[in-house]
Amino acid sequence: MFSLSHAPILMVVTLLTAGFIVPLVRKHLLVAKALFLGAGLLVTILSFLVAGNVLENGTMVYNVGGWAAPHGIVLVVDAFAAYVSLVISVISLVIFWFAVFAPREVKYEAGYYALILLLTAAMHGIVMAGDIFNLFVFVEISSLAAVAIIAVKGTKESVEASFRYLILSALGSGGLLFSIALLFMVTGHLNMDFMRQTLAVTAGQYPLNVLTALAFMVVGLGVKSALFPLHIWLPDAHANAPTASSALLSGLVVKVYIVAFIRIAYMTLGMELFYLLPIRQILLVMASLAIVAGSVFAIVQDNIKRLLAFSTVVQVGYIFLGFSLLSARAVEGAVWHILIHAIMKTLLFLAVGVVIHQSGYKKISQLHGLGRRMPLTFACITLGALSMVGIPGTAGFISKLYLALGALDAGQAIFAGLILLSSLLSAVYYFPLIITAYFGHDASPTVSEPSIAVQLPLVVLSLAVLFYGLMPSVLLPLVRQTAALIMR
Amino acid sequence: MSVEILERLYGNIYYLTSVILFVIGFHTMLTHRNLIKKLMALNIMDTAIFLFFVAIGYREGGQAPILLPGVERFVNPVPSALILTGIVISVSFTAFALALVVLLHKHYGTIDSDEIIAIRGKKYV
Repeated sequence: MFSLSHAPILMVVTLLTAGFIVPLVRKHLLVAKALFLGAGLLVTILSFLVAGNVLENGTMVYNVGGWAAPHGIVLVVDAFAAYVSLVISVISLVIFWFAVFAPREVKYEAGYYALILLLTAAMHGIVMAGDIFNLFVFVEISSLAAVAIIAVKGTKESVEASFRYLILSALGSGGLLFSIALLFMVTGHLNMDFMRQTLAVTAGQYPLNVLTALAFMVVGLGVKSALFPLHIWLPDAHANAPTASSALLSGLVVKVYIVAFIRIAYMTLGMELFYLLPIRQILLVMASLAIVAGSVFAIVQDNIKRLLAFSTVVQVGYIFLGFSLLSARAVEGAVWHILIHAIMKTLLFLAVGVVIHQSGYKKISQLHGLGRRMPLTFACITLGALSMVGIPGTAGFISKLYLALGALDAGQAIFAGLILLSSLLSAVYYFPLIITAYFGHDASPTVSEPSIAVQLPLVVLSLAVLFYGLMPSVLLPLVRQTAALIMR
Repeated sequence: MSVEILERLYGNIYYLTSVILFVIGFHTMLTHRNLIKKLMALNIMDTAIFLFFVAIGYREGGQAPILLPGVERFVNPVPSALILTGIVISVSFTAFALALVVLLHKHYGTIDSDEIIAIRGKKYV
């Protein structure tokens, strides 16, 4: 019987290896595509097996090369890691499929696939890394690959946007590395488990180090995950990327950095810190600003992809809000939202990408009557938009419900009001999209639906939106365990 | 009192230098419009962090951690090893960023960030 103990490292290794082989076989595009999809499929199967195993037997620890911590490098797959890597592998498989079958947007397809594979490998690595320096290395790989999959489009705007992203991302990396140095200074360990144990003793002796480290980390990972005042790179970067890249960046990449932040700040530095420092209040304020300001900016957008990008700023605010409210249900809501936003935003970005490609229209005001020409695609967009607003029966309702209940549990009813307000605001910016598409004068008859292979990912994601809206209990054990782990 | 402060500063001379370098890099990056200068500033910042990291492991008069008779004090090798990785990462960032600068120059005909923004027509929100 195949032993599952190697599965975590195999997930990263499969994607990395495929990432290096795919450009080598670029002359045979069919082989490259098959390898690309095959790697995605294999990793998805492995992540399901790993998640099942973690649910049954608890945390898996893999010693790379057989060297145990604190001297060796370890991969730690706890419920949190298993959950997030399940989300990453499933959503990225759908995006892989879209990237292969969708109309061509980039010049060097094999190179593009390789970059996507590297990015996905790095995301799995961030999630499962057991020591803080490997986490940093994976963060760097994913940052570089994320910039690259924007720049491959090669247009004026995308190069400018990706350069801005690169500079800010490098600034964030600097902050992260500085905070790692400060923490290493205090603990002498890089393994997060050992750091936690040492910090319990030494944090009181060197409070300044820990405080500075935390500040650098909030800024460093805040820039990368586009927490509100640090989001300025996001709208341009996500709006000017190729369709598959936009979906990947908005749906998964920003969230992986949040996961990295939770891993270091909550699970390594420990929750005690949150009662000593005003870090929780700062995060709450930033998250609330993200929700309000992001919605206001989204309302004034006419470019559809920029609207979706600003909506991502809002959703990042939601996730941070849930994690910083610190009540069990709020954290569960935030954990839910990582999955549910990944599904909704991927669906919307892919569907909008299809619309833009089929019609050539990039603005909401140009969409008149397109809903009648592309019924299936716009049905998917409508479902995604309803879910974003949080209509009951769709997945978006579940996470918003948990967040609002969590806010009440934490005794901060004002944040429940904020979530309600934000739902109304998101109706204000999503409904014009639907209304213009279905009403208004007729669109040109040359616009038609794309092929079935392109529509398949949209349909799958739409079904997922409905499925988690109606039956959220499927993943509940994993979400519960994750929240319990974070609140430990 | 002031002598004491000076002594403490001298005792932490590596940390002090790295913080000064970091601030120089950060300031240059924010205030200069030339993209190449921005990248140089980024590298100065990175170097500051590398110095800081390596200084953590340094001990006065320490030797390389190879067990030889008569060698008592060792430098902690872990930070140096990590920074080797850090340098590689910084090099790849710089290389990639320079490639993007070349592309930007091809598209916009300038490497001045303000001019690029002016050409693009600005919409930050």
